[in-house]
Amino acid sequence: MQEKLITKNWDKIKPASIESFINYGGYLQLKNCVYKNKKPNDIVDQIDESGLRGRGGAGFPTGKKWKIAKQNAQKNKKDVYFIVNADESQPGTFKDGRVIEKNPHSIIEGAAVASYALEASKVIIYVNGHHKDYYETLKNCVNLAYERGFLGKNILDKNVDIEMQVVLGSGGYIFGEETTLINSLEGYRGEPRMKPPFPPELGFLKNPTVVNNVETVINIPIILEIGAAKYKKIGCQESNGTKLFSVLGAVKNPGLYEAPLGITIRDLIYDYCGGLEKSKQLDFVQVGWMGNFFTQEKLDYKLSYQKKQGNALVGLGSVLVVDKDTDIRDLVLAWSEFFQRESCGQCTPCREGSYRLLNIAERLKNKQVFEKDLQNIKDLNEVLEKTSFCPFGCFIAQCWKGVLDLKQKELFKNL
Amino acid sequence: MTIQKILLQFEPKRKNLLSALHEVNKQFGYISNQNSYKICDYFSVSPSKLYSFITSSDVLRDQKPPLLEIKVCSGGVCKMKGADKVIKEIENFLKIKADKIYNGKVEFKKISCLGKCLVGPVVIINGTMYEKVNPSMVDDILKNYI
Repeated sequence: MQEKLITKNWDKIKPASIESFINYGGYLQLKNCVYKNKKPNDIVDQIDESGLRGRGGAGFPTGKKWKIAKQNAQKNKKDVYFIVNADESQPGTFKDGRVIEKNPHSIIEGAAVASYALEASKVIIYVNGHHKDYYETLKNCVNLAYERGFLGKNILDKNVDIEMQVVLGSGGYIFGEETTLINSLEGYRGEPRMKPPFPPELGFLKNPTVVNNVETVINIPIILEIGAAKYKKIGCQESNGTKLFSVLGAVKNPGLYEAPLGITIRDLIYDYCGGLEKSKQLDFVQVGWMGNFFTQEKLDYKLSYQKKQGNALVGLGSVLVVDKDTDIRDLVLAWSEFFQRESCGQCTPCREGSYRLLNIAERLKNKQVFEKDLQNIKDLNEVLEKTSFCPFGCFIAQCWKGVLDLKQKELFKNL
Repeated sequence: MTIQKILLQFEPKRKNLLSALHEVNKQFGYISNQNSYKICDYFSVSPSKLYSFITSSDVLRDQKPPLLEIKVCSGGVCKMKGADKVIKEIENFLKIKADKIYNGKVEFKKISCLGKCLVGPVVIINGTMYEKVNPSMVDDILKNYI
């Protein structure tokens, strides 16, 4: 089994205590950067070399994102802002929350190193509005780091400034999308913005902004510690490093597991989670997002960020194992309710489409589908995929497409 | 604390709007009509823009919070663990329907996943979270509040 990097000291560290974190090598990489006068651009190059990809779902190379932001800042003589996205609200995902519960100081260190590398004027940690406890935890951690001189003006008595602020977010799924998050920080309604320009070009207060997921941020000190070359060896081609997987459903030991990218779905379920619960039969496995389904024959697909045959796109790393006792209609209804509730209402296809699809899901649940419904789903999917403003619409379409590919006969057998 | 005192903690810049609204929401439980005009004046935001900001949020309220606020997670994982039965039981016990407000006194909402999947189904009543709820526990929990 792969040696643990992220969760290595989770059982030993006392989350609230900064001493305990320092005793286990915390803030060492930040001290290294500051005392050894490391060049910020060297750190950016190192992250780029390591092949680290954003852990927020899309898997955009982190080093590349940083480089775009830095180039834009230099060209237009603007400040860089660094935002840590802790607005986790994807159903069935709890990795960021667990990081905040178990080792919150690692986020502060990662963000501080990132800020040093990007020469950012400010770091903002955006916490999901539903989780006031996480907000308080991170705020305490930031205060402790200020007291210890890891943050603030002239940190560690050297000529480096790192400012950090924790912000309680608005609460809601769409705020996890980076442009919506920036809108909400600026005091505008929580709606996605047009892309391009992407945030590294034009983001918070019209400055180049890097938005990174919590898990991406905690990987940064690890890369500096073990070196980019060693980090690149972990995982598979184009998807390097380890990843946190939230495994749920009909497995013996559901929970959060750290595994290298490139692991097969079968290994994750049977080696890490102890296999399926007794007397349960596997129906399908959902990876990353709704609609990304893998049946028994596809269990040997590799979990990775690269789209190719034989790979399962990992997304946020949520894995839901569904057994044959679970009614797919219940799940479809739960997902449709979620889509309808969380659609921000900015564009018509998503606002109306999610509502109509919920109606169909309710009819499916009551086993009263009409003949037209199947065609309607397909039509709505096409409209959502082609015309919705932000990726959320495509996300709805993908979910329904996955459901139809897998279970069309079962759902519409009455007709 | 008065609304003026709360607002004076923040620089009158639009980027502080979110934090200021959270603070007002925390102090008063909601952002009243009267208060929202004062916030608009202070941050130089039009009332319609402020309203659209508040309504896009799940956490900020523009109406007085009800005496009894029940939220049940209805994500896929909680549903697999029987959240539907818990919702039915609450509906039967209080004789109300989900996703409706009753005279500003009771509010019963289905909410999206909060990442508490391992201890689901989750029920939150007036801010207190109950984990691993099954239908037989509903009576006992609700009796504390009525």
